[in-house]
Amino acid sequence: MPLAALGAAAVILLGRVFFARREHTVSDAVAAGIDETAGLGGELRSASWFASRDTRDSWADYHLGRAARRLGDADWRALYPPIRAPRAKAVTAVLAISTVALAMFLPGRESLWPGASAKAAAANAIRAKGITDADLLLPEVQKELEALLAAAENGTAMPGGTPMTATELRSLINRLNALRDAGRLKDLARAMAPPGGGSEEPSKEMTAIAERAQKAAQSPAVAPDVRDTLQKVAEDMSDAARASQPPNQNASETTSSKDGQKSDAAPGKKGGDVDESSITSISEAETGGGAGVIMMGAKDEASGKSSPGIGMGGGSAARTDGGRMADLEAALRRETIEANTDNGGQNVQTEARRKTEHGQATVTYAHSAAGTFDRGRAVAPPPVPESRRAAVQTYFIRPQ
Amino acid sequence: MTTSIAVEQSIDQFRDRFLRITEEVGRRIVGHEEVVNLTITSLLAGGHVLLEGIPGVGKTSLVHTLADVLHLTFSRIQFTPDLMPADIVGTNIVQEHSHGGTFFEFQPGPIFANVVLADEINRATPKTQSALLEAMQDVSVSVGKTTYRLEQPFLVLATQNPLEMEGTYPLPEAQLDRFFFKLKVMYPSEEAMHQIIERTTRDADTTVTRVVDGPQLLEMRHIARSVPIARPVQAYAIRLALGTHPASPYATPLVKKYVRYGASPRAAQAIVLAAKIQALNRGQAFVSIHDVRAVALPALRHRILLNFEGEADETSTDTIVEELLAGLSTE
Repeated sequence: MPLAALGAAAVILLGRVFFARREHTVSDAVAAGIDETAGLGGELRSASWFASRDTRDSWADYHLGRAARRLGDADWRALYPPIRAPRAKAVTAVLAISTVALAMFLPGRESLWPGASAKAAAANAIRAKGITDADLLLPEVQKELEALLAAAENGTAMPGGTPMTATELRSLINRLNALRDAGRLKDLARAMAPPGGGSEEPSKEMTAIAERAQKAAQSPAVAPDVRDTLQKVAEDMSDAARASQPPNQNASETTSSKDGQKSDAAPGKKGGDVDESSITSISEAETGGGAGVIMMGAKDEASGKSSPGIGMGGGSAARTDGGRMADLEAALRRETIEANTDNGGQNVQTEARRKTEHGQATVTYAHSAAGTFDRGRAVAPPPVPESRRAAVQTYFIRPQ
Repeated sequence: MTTSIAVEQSIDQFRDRFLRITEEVGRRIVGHEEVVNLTITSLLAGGHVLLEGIPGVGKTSLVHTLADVLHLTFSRIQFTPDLMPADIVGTNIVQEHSHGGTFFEFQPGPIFANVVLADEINRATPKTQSALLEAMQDVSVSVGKTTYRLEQPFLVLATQNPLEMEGTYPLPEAQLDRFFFKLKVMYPSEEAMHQIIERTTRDADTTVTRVVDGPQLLEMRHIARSVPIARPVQAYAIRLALGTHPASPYATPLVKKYVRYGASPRAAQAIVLAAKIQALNRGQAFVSIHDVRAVALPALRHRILLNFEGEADETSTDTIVEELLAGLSTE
């Protein structure tokens, strides 16, 4: 590791040296700045521009030669004195050498606190074995979830016959949240499968647990907080099951909603946790239009029972209290019929416009008699301020 | 190496001649070094000069002296309201052959000279003033169907009095634009007045010698046009000319408030050419920002047309150009 760092530093240093030694293009602003500092009267600025030209005449060559002589005669060390900081440079060198020596020759340090060291050693051991905190949570989560499901199915809603407080439920949810990774949920589903009943496809096991949790949540004996928890478990497990399905199976499900307007939106997550898979395009094939409506699945569409709503997307149907597809279809049909039967002449606005365009308007322009000028009604011009009067009078006699 | 020596010799020769002209004019004209310098600059650029100043400050003397020093033909036209164009350019008169019969012969007017002094130019009518337009721009005169070329070098030095405005005809913008510089001849300083009194009230010798002739002057013009100018410096000169336009992004607040029309492209040409001559006069083979700034005021002041607000507030175009010079970035 130290050798790699040294190598990287050497490469950077070489790059810096190469960059510093290569020929730079001097901009006009830089040339003007140096010119002003050196008091060259614009010669360097002008010469730097001519030096960048490909073709030059004898005057430009003479100009460049003379500028070069003047630049050579300038005392640049006096104009731009080198930065002298021997102490800072020495300290920097010593610190750099010390850092490299420490990194190369000293062994790894031990912690001053034995307890902390033991904890760190245990954590290192677990990390070395590839065990994570989530793995450690699995057995107890499995037990508590199994107890919760069993109690809900039995109608007691009391796991183990003892009341489960909201705090305990939240603790369980937090631990389940730690396992929201699809792989972890798959492990959990496998662990909860009946002995000998585990199938080869983990998605089926997960779907089974999700269905169990959904049914348990619908039990009337279940307390509201327990119901929410079970629904959440069902949704998470269902998501994980979909994610673990083979790709071709996912594709077939997606294409199955092609006849979108009559069927339903693709099963999605909750409205507040939308992903791209929950967006379905529904084309209005019957009305002949090419426009499509992008709609989001509503909150309760995971089960696929609800119809898509009318909205501007983002699951807005519930918010806007919009209609359903049947209402949309009826409204579109009504508009189409009205548009087809809207003949010219029956629509008042259309007829009025057509008359105007065809020059049938009865209003015509007539020349009026020239108005007579009434001096009595003439408005006096604004008075010229006294301070401007002389200037106004001499305006047309402008001095050169 | 040979070309470098030739360039260096050209610069030295130009500088030497310029210095000799200035010194010789200075023997008779006191206290107007900058006006003399810029008048010679305009002469070497092939431009014309409008001299403005109160009576008695030496405008006409300057022109007389310049013609004497340059070994050039000189003529003076006193502009009056009844002056006619034919009085300037000349006319065809009927001549009689010795053997009988008549014919028309062109009688050249006073415009046929190298240095023409148009004294009090704003006293003539616009019709007469415009007789100078062709001569100033094309160095030619058209009479009837014939166009006559004027001899080079050709220089019009016009004077006008800024005080007496009664019975005058302000020069139109087209005529003003044809003047390379507008120079203001100010009242001399106290020290200069001492010298003027001593020279003119004694029997002192104020004769000048002719140091440069016409061909040498044309050679100096050629040298001046050879001086290279870097693009950033040229861009600065262009920005100066554009900055006099109210709609320009380089316009200053005074320009936006008081200017109706800004300088024409002739202004940028004049600035660059005059800056080249200034550079040569300093012995340099390049044009610097300093050279451009030195000639910007006389090249721009008469090319800016004020609006009513500017006229009413009696704003000077000098103030506007000075603000432009102070505010415009050189980069």
